[in-house]
Amino acid sequence: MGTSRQDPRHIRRGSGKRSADRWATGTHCACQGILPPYVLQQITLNGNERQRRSAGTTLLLDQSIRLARAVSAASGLAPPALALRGAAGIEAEGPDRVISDAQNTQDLPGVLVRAEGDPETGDPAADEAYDGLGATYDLFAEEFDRDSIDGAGMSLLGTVHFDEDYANAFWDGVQMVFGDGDEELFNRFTVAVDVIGHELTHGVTEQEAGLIYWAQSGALNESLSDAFGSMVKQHVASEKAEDADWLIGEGLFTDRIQGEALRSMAAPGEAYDDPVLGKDPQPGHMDDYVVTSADNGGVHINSGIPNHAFYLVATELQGFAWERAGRIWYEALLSPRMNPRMGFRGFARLTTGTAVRLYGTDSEEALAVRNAWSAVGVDVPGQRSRPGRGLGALAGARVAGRRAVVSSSESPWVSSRQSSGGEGEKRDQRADRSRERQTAAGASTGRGRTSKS
Amino acid sequence: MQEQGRVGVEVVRSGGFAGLTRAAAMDTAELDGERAEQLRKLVDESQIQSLTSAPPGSGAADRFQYHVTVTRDDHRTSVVLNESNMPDAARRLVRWVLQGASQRSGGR
Repeated sequence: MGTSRQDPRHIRRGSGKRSADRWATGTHCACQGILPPYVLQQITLNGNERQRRSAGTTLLLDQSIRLARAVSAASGLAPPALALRGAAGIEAEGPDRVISDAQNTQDLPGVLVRAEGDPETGDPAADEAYDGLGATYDLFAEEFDRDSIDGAGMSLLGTVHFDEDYANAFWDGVQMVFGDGDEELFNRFTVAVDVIGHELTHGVTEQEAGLIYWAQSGALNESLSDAFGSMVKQHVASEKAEDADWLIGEGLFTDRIQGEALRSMAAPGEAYDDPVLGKDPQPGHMDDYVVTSADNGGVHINSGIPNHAFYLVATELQGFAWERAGRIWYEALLSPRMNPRMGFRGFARLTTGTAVRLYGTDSEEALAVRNAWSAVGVDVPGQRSRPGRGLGALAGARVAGRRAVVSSSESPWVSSRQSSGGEGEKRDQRADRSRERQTAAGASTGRGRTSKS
Repeated sequence: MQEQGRVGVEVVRSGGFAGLTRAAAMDTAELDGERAEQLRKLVDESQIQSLTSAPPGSGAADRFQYHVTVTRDDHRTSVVLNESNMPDAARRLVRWVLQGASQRSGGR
C-alpha cells in the first residue's frame, strides 16, 4: 500500500543562524519550566550540575518573567519578553532533544533511542520526530528569539510508537507523544512536520497564556498551534505565505482517503471529503460557529475561524509569514493582556492593538489584521464585522453570529455512526457560504479586498 | 431469556489531533453468548456507573474524549472521560466496543 508523505530528511534548515550551534552540546539540559515546582526541586537535588543550574535558573526566570509582565501591564509599556534571554544572561545553545520509544505500549516516556547529537537511528518515526523537534526549535529560536518551549532551553521530549493502531499525536503537558497510525486511514503522525510544530506550540501556549482547552479559548489554543505549526513547515521550506498551501497534516492520510490534509487554513471546510471520514467540518466564519460538547466544545472545529484570520493576514502582507503576521501573533501571545479565558473577540482586539503598537495605527499591518478579523466575522471595536452572505437581508447589521448545530438525538454531541463531523446537509451549506465569502473578500489573492459594509 | 440482563454500550469518541468523531455501539441482545458475556464482564469491571465526568477542558491537548453511555435494563448512565485519565477498566471497555463495531462493519 503506497503512502503519500513528505520526507523530512530532505528538510533544509531555515536561515541557519543556529544550525552550527545545535550540534555542539554534549550534555543534557533538563530545564523544564512548565513542570510543577516539586519536580524542579527533585532536579535541583538529584540532577547533574548543568541540570541543577538550569532548573534553578528556570525558577528564577519564571519569577522574573511574571515581574516584568506585571510592571509592563501597570506602566502600559511593551513587555520585554523578546529580550528575555539576553537580559537573563542565558545564551541559547540549540535544542536538547530526547526521543524515546514506547514500543507500542502506553508507558511514557519509554526507552531512550536518540538523544541530542546522536546519529540517525534508522527508525523513520524516531528520526522524523528528532528532525521535526529541531525544525520547531529553529523557528522559535531564529524568528522569535525563543529558546525552546519555555524560553530557557527546556529539553524537547518526544515518544514514538505509542500504543497500538494509535492514529493520534498529543502534548501531555511535559512531552510530545506520537502514534503509528492505523495502517488503514492514517500514517504515522511524525510524517508531517506541522503536526510536530502544532504539538510543541501547545507547550508554548500553556506557558504563556494557559488558554483553557474548551470552546472559544480552546479553539484559539488550537489555532495558535496550527498557525505556528504551519510556520514551521514553511520555515523548513523557506516558503513565503503567498506560496504556501496552508494545509495542516498533509501526508497523514493514506491513499485510501479522499482528501489532501486534515485542515485548511486557506479554506476551512475543504480539506477533505471522504465516504468514511466524512467532510471537513471546519467553519471559516463566526456565522458558522459550531456549538457542541464533543471535542472539548469543538476546539478542532472552530479553530478554523482564527486559522483563517491568520492566513488572511499573512497572505495580505506577503513574504515570510513569521516576519509580520507571526510576529504580531507571537507578541500578542506573550502580552500581559493574554488570559486563560480569552476568546476570539479578545484576541482580535489584542492582535489589532499589537499591530498598532508595532507598526502604527494607519499601517498596512494594522489594517490587514482588522480586515482579517472582519472577514471571519469577529468584531473589533471601531469596526463592524462582515456577516456571511448566507444571511441575506441581515447583511450589514450586527449579528450574534452563533449557530447551534446539535443533533436531534438525546446525546448533546454532534453524533454520526459512520463518519466525522455533523449533519451533512448543513455542513455543505456552510461550506458553500464560506466559499462565497472568501471569493467576495478576495481572500485567496490577498489583494483587492472589497470595502467593508 | 436474552432480554434479562440486557446491557448496551454506546461510545462516542471525539477530539484528538484530527478532531474526528467516531461512534460505536454494542448490545448483548445482538451478540452471541460468549461475546455478550464478555461485554457484561467489561461493563461490570469498568464500574462506569460510578465514574464522574471529566470537567470540560480538563484533558491534555489533542487527546481523545469518550462519551460512554451504558444502558442496563431501563437504566441509562452517561459519562464523559478523558483519554488522559480514565481507569484502565474503562479503557478496556471503550477499546473493545470501538474495535468490535469496527470489525463488524468492515472498516472504520
